[in-house]
Amino acid sequence: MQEVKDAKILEMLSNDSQFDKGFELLVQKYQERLYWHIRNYVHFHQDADDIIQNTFIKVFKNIKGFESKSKLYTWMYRIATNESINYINKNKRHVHSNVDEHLIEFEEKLKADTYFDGDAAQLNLIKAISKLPLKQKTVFNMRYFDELSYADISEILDTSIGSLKASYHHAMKKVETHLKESQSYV
Amino acid sequence: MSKKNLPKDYFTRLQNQIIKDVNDIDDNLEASAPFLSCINKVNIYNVPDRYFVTNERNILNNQITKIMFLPKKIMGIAASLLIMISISWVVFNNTDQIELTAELDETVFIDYLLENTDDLDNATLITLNENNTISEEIDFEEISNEELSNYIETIVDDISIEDLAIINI
Repeated sequence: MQEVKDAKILEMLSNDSQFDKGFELLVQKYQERLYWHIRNYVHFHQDADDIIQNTFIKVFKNIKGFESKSKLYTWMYRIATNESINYINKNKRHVHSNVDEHLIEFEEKLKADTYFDGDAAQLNLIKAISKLPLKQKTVFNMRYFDELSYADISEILDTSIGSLKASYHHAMKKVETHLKESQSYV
Repeated sequence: MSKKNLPKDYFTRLQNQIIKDVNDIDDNLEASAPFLSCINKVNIYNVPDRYFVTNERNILNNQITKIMFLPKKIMGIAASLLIMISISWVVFNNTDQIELTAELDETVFIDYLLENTDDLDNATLITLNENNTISEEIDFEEISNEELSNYIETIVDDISIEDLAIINI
């Protein structure tokens, strides 16, 4: 099926009689892309499912105020990213005394998850990413997994490209160090 | 440390090296991050069967979403309609004693609107509340069934079939 252009969707959304159809096309076009972005953030399906619902409620609520200053999908990515961060902050159930304790629990939970298919190396990568500071994790996910351009990430996060490159560089080095160290224990 | 202890053009070379490192990450992942580049970059997560079909339906049918963003006019009409239906039920079913509060507690209704709508401000709600307040001095015995039916019809005429469907959700 041919993908409907954003301009067409926006045109429909601005017309009350076509709004419902326009919103349906918007959901069809972007739900998977946004879902995987969120999933890379929160790792667990149930969490991603909650966040994608909240994301589209926000999109629904604010779409009429969308001014086309940014691209439609970067605007939606921003909402999805913010929703993910809010969700993570809201659901911090308990604070672990150290990072290792947290990582062990996280690893066990992920291994037991029906909807996780990764091998040992991929699980190790997820652990490395989960240790990153929030901004570096965000940039790393967008660049490495979502393969977004720096220009798009800059628009989503409202950060300069130079700063994003530095964040990605730091994140990559930390991930690489984690992978190298865990390899040496094997 | 004084400047003369640094190698010649140290800061220029440092800057170039950093820029080269950053660009290498994108251009040559194998060289800059050999351990990461060994990991198979595939989707390691999956979802329940037909999840995206179900999810699309859930999003589009989200009743809360729809009721949250009903236009003010429809919310006002909905409130009026509910109150009128309530009154008519009481009038048709209990001619001896009229107890409006038994059928629709306006406070509860207004509280619900406050909690579930972003579009209505307090002033609008107060107006809505005042407009819909039924005076206890009204003699309902004097209102004929025909008058009441006509009034309900005039309200219903303002509401489209789609609006009624949403209100009924």
